[in-house]
Amino acid sequence: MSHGRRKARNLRPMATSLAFAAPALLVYAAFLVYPAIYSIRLSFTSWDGLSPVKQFVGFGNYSKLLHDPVVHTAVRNNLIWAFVTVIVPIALGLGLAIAVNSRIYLRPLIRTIFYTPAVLPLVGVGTIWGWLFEPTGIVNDLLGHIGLGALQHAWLGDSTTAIWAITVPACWVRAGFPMLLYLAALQGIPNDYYESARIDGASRWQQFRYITLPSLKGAHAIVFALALIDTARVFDLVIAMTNGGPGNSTQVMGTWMYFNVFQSYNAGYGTAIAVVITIVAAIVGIPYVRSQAKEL
Amino acid sequence: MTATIVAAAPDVSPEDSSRQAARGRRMRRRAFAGTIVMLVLALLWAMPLLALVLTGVKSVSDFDAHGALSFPQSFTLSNFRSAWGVGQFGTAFINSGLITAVKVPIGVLITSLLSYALAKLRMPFRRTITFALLMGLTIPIFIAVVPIFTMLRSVHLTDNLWGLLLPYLAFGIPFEVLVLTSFFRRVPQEVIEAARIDGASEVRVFFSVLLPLSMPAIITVAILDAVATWNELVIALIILNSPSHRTVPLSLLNFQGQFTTNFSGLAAGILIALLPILLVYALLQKWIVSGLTAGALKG
Amino acid sequence: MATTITRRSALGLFGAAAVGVGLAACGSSGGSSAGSKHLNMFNYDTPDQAKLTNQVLAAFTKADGISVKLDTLPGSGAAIYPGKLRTEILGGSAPDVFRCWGGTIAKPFVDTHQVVDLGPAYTKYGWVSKLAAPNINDFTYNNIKYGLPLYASAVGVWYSTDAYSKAGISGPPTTFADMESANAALVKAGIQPWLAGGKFGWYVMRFFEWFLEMTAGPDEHDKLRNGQTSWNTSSVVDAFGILQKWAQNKWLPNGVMGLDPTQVEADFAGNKGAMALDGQWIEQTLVAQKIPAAGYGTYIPPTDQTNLRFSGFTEGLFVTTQSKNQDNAEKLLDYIASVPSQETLQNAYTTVNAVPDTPGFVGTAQWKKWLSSNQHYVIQDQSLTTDQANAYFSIQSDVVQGNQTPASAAAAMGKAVPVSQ
Repeated sequence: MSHGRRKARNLRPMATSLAFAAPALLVYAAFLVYPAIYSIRLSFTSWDGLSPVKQFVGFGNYSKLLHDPVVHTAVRNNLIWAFVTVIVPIALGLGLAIAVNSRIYLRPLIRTIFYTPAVLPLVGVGTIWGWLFEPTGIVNDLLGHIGLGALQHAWLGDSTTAIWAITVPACWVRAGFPMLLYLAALQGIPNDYYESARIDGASRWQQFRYITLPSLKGAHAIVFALALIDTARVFDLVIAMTNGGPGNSTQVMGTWMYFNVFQSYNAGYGTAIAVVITIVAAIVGIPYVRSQAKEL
Repeated sequence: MTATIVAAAPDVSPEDSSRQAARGRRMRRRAFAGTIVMLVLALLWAMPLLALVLTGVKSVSDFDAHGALSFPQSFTLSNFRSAWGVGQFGTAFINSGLITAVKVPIGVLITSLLSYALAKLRMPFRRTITFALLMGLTIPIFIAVVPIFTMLRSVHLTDNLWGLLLPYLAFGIPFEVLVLTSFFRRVPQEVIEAARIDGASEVRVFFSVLLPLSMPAIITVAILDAVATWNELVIALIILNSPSHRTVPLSLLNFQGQFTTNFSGLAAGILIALLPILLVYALLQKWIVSGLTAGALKG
Repeated sequence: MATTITRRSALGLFGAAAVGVGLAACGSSGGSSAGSKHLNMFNYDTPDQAKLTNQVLAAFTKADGISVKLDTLPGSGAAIYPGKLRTEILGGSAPDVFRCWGGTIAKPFVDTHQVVDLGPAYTKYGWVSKLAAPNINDFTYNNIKYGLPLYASAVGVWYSTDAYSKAGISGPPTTFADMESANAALVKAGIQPWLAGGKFGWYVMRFFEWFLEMTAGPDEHDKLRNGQTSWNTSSVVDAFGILQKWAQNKWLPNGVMGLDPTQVEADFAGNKGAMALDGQWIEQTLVAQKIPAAGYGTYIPPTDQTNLRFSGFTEGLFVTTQSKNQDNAEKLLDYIASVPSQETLQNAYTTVNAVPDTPGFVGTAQWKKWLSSNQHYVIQDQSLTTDQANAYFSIQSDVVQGNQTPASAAAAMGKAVPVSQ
């Protein structure tokens, strides 16, 4: 009797929590998890994406992936992308946050301008920056004006520079969100911390190192996690600016997946690439989930 | 705001007050210089957008002759007029407005319910679910379109604006839950316990205690969600056919075909598509910052 | 611990998936009802073109009592449209009639039996006598006619008469050597010879296939395109060699691989270069920009072959096997292929005989003559599979940038396009 009641008491909150979670989880399961599972199945077939027959090929697509030269290029580009578009926007965002948080006028206006790129659709951003990077475009114009004419270059037309050129708009778009997060965190640091540090004779660098940075720990975690996961999803900007070219020199895993699934009738192979993308992103995301779950 | 607070203490000796005043002047000068530097940087930052605006308001021949960044020889709205007509943006604005207005509140409601369960209720499989949601951030939409299309067709929701609702909800969930859970977790447990002791049901606790306390975060998520919904292209492309059902990104695509050789018209079209989202953002942006502040991210 | 997360995640995922499958399973029927007097049509008309198409469809409804709903997906070219079409077919809601390119773009739909054999309809409506034969060929797979070709395009040289006279070029070059001297003369006069955009690969490909037609000759070129002989051969090396030379001499624009091909028309109209290697559609831009017919000319790219061929491709209409009203769909095809309908559509590329030329389109009219007097080969990205075309684009990009020698490029093509019997 008493045992049964205790059990009931434990079950009730569980039932409540499930009731709260159910609507979102059902939609999520049907329209995201189910398609994902469906594609895992496809990734073991040689399906062309159109015929009714889906021939099972075991791990064939996955071993093909290891020997696909475009995959090698894509992995290299994803690593470049991850390196640049995690570090630069976070550093920029932090710098901007500190600058905007200092004693200046017109703060809301300035903050708005720096954040605006983040709300633009990436295809539009790609179009605009595609113009800027043209051989006769504004980037080369500016280089000429400031006496760096020697650096003028067909940025997107050269296999060695194209992927780097695409990271520029990515950083432009991505700096806004970390800026806001850091700004929020900075505004949460009580001013008397700095006051007492100043009284103790701490230098500006010491204040930054021992007060500012540690207070941003929470912001760092979410900024890094989201930035890393975002790098696995890079797609729109590459499609809009170079379409994976010249040749395949700017293919990333996301675009190469798209070409195979949507354009080359290699749906089975393409979904195998997608599965790999998700697995890699999941591995990257595990530390974040663990740090979050610990606090539950 | 700290920027404009200048120490001005009463009842001090003249010597002190003049020193104070000098310090105030120095700080104002520094703030002024800082503002100028930041404005210059902001101008550089906004250059690509400025190029877009300058292209949109000048004539095609002016653009061909002088490029994007030159100051327009004369301002014209004709690009916007022709872009508006060809892109059929009127219908598209109504469609995108409708789906955004319905999707965002429902999405924020169901994700906050889930986030509450994850953050404050003893939800089983918390880690598993958080992990599954996180993986959802990385699933490329292209591999999901065929199953989604098939499911929606079986309930006759293809070529129907409301067919977008469920997939949009699903793809919005991961990011929103991540932000909201981390916010809800910072809401003091005592506040919730107090309400529970007063006999409030969980539903009541959620609606009359947690939600009001979390308004900044909710609004942040809602704004970001609205931006994403307004800009979504791939699912809309697959689900919708009829011109009368097109959303704004589809209109933009539709109209690019017509304007491949007319950059001024193209720029005008892109600006038209962006304008509502820029306006909403400009009006509500202070909420984004306060939403992310309010303890949500303090480590 | 990572292991526990993984195990429990897997459990949770499978539970969630079960729900998803359950939802997906409920209800599965639909499609256009059989025997109804209604058809769905899907194409990639721009809004302006769609207006004309809808006029034709309305006239069809009036004449035959069959209503047609037109959906269009413009602005995406061959990049998105086939994908959207495929999703609809897979989802069981294929349109009754759709427009598509021939060659390897329509081939997957043929191979998977998604489109109807139109042989009986050809006989019933006598299309063979109404249409130009080379185009019907482009829509014939394994000797079966699967589509109704209505639009024929050809790639040729379009040049500015002003630039030619400034550079002292008397007229269209008739030999390839003259062509190259013309390039050199233009450079000397300070004029960019060619406009081109290599961003998607296919624009620069037009140059390569022209060179290959010259170095290999029609017979070998066809064998190469059909995979009947290896690409690792001297004619391919030579063609890549010419391409590299043209890029290095800046006869193709600087940084060509990063340029957007959609800009070529506007740049040509704006006199930013002397020549474009383009289809008849470029004339629409020229007419729209009010450039007088005397300001430009067009000719078949010289190949030094007695059988002077050029690159071309065909678009037309297909009927899906999912359509429950195939007879009505074929009736619609016949109606669209009629001379009055083609006139309403202002179809300058029509393959239908007896459609008069659109006034003001001098170059297009010229090409219509060449399209029936000369042979064409199917443009390379529609004769190679998408995988092969993609491999080619990558090799081409290296050759243009000077990162690969013509010989190694030919060897790489030999690997990418296997010889089939």
